[in-house]
Amino acid sequence: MAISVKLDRVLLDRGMSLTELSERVGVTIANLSILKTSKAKAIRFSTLEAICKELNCQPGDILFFED
Amino acid sequence: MTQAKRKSVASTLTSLLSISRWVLWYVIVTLPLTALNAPFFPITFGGDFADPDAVWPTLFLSPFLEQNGTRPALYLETLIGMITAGLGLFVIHHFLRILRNVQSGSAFARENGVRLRRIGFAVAGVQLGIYGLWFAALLADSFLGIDFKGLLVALSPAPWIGVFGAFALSTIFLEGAEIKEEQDLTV
Repeated sequence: MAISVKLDRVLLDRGMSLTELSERVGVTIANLSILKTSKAKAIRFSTLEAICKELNCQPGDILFFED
Repeated sequence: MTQAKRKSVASTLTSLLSISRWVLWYVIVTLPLTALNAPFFPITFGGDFADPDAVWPTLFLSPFLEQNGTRPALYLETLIGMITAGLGLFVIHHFLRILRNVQSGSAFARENGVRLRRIGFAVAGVQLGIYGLWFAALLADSFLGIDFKGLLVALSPAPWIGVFGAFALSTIFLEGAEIKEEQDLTV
């Protein structure tokens, strides 16, 4: 897939687990796993906003375009 | 329609289809016995064709066959009847699977679309097959002298409406499955 999600690195930088993020953002772990493994077909702006808010980062820090 | 109502409609349909399945099995078994005039089997197609006054318990073709009936036509019609009943069983099997999926909450699954498409192909195929048999009978009649007089083949648009309906629904279900998958994978 051209767009990949690199949540691992940001989570590692912030010292946060996926479970903790899921609790803070209000997205299920199952859905976060879909996102993390780049299986997701779309991401809502509200989800992206919540993740960026909790991880204190920019969308560009977790979303990458690979040719 | 609420989900509970939908499920009750599905379970009613399931019961009706299960009953139809038994009826079709009965038809498949009894048709050849009837056509061959099996001695142990009490139902016949109008009994002795030579004797129009003979009263026997009859199935649905007897009035026509009593007038024009000949054995080859009867056998061919029995074959067509069995093929149609077999098709009915195939269609019922697929509908039951679709209903099971609906009851388990996954109506818009790719599998349902594929099943509907199979139903469409099966009905179309059998209809074409029946027309083919009918044409073969005409040829046999004129070239080989086998008397198919009295052959009754239904030329009804109903199966074709069913075929188009099945294909249209199949497209809708496949599209729906795609939309649902996209929605499921939206985070």
